[in-house]
Amino acid sequence: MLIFLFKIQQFVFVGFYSHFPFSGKEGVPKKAGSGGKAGPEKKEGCIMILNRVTRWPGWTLRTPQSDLERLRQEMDRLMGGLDQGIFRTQGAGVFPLVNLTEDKEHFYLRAELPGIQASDVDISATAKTITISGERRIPAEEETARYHRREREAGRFSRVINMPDAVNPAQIEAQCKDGVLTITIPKAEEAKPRQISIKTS
Amino acid sequence: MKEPTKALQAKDKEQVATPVEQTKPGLTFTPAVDIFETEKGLTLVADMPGVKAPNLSIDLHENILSLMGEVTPPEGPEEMDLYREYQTGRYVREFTVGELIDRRKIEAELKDGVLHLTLPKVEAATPRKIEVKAG
Repeated sequence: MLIFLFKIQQFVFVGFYSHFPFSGKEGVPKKAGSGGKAGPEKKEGCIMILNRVTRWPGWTLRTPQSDLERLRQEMDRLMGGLDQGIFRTQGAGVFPLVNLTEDKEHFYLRAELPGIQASDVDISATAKTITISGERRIPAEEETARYHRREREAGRFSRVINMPDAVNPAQIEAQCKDGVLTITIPKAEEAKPRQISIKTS
Repeated sequence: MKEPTKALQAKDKEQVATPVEQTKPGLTFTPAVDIFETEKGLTLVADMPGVKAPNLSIDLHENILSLMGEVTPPEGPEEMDLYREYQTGRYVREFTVGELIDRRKIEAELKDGVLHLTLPKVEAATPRKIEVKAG
């Protein structure tokens, strides 16, 4: 029933506008009996009415193009919604997620590694990169245990992080406290900001 | 024979919109939790990195067990963000606990950002083998 009504609506609109095509003056029907001087004014009037009518709020012209446009918007919205679900890619997609901050003398690299002992993590550094690798273990419970929920994951991880500036790898310190790994990386001498004095002559 | 361990996938922290407004501003996350049951009771293991023991509060009130861990942002005042992949915020999670738990014997241990919570069952609920005498 609804489809029938839609079809009528489409038909009515198309029929209405087939007499008033958008392109302008040439399609406007010439009224019988009007001729000569009245012609151009009548054409202007028809076009003005056409403009007012199409801008009327609520009157949307349902051409096949606008239907396609609406379909495309719906599909975009559906596909965009999928982005937020399982298809979304993480920032870097590699465990662990890290935060990199800096102050004048050091870079600080922090990662959340709950339950990881210092012996399970291996950190190596070059002048421009830091590599964090290791394994997260979850101790197996006794055999009679029945799991109600299992949300924590275990496995290996390895990640290379590029430093924005040169660092001094010999003096890097790392600390693992409360499940947060903090790596303090001193900047290389040439990377530290240096004050330049302006000579006044 | 030990199977080769698989690689860990990165997972964004689950951020929740709290139904009740918190007094301190900040983000709230749901910690990942393993719950398993043995004969003696329930054990709950939660990942709460960055939470120290004084900042963790565990409440059992009318059958609802609530865990809340506050996290102080680890960055110093002079530090500027270059690249941030995760946010820090408090951890909150609540569970409904059955009445078979002996509330006076609940134990909690927080180590390396992992909380081990042991909820022993009431004595009457532990399965007891009944010997059948043949005769």
